[in-house]
Amino acid sequence: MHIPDGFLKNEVWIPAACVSITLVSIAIKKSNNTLSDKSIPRLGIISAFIFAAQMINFPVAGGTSGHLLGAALAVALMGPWLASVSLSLVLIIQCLIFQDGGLTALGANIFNMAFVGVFSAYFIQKLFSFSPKLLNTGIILSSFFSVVAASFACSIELYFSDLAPFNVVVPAMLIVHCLIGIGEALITLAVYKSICKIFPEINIFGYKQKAV
Amino acid sequence: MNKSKKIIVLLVVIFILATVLSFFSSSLPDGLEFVAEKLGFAEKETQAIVNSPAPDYSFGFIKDGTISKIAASIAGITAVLLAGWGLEKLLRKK
Repeated sequence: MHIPDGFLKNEVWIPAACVSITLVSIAIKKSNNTLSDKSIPRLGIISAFIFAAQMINFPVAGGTSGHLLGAALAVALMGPWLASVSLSLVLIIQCLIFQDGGLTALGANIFNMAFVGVFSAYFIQKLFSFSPKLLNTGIILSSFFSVVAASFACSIELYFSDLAPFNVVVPAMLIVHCLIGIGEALITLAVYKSICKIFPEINIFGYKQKAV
Repeated sequence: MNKSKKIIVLLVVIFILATVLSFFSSSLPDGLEFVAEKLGFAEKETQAIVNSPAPDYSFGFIKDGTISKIAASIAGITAVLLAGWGLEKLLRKK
């Protein structure tokens, strides 16, 4: 759901850019705390993984496709602030080098995916973190809802840019992204489980690794 | 397996994802493009306001499409890796 140039009105993308600049600087400051352990250089590696995974679109029903967002995966592996930094980094490089997402829409794209997506995933994972038995449920639901929430934010921006009526664009975006969210959940669970197996020492935010 | 070996394995997986598996990527419109076409605002998309070196994940100066795509993928992964790694170093220093 990378918004290209031309979709968003000035009244939408300029405030979105300002909000995102503020949020990214807060996230960079806050993520300092999450980097206290010396395990692995995760920001580079996990961001690179998300970037690679985002290149692979999987088809979903009805003639559309989607790719991994990676917000829930990043939250589970790095905590929300570092996850926001990671997703922002991926979006900036996609925009500047590959023209994937417009430069004017970059702020909105960062807001939708790196903040709305990441923090909706974070709150759901947090909700399920009281019991290790609910780990898989937390991962699945957080992945699904991170995509749906990000698409909701995106559809609001489209609405305020006068592209389509609210009661048309919001359900259309949500329905398509519910389907993509199922793919997101399956991929995130599989990748998360594999990374936990390869790196048992990784200090996973919200969950005690031993309990997995 | 020690830590650095594991990291190398992970990096290999990442490069395989981007260079090999990305060729199986679906060319169907993504969620937003699909909605934009259906609701008739897809044509609002303008040309990108800045020219990027590798639009649509391929370098214009490489004639062969496959090679161009692989080169762009490798460049992208490297850019993300270096940026993430550098930022992490900076953050840890603070």
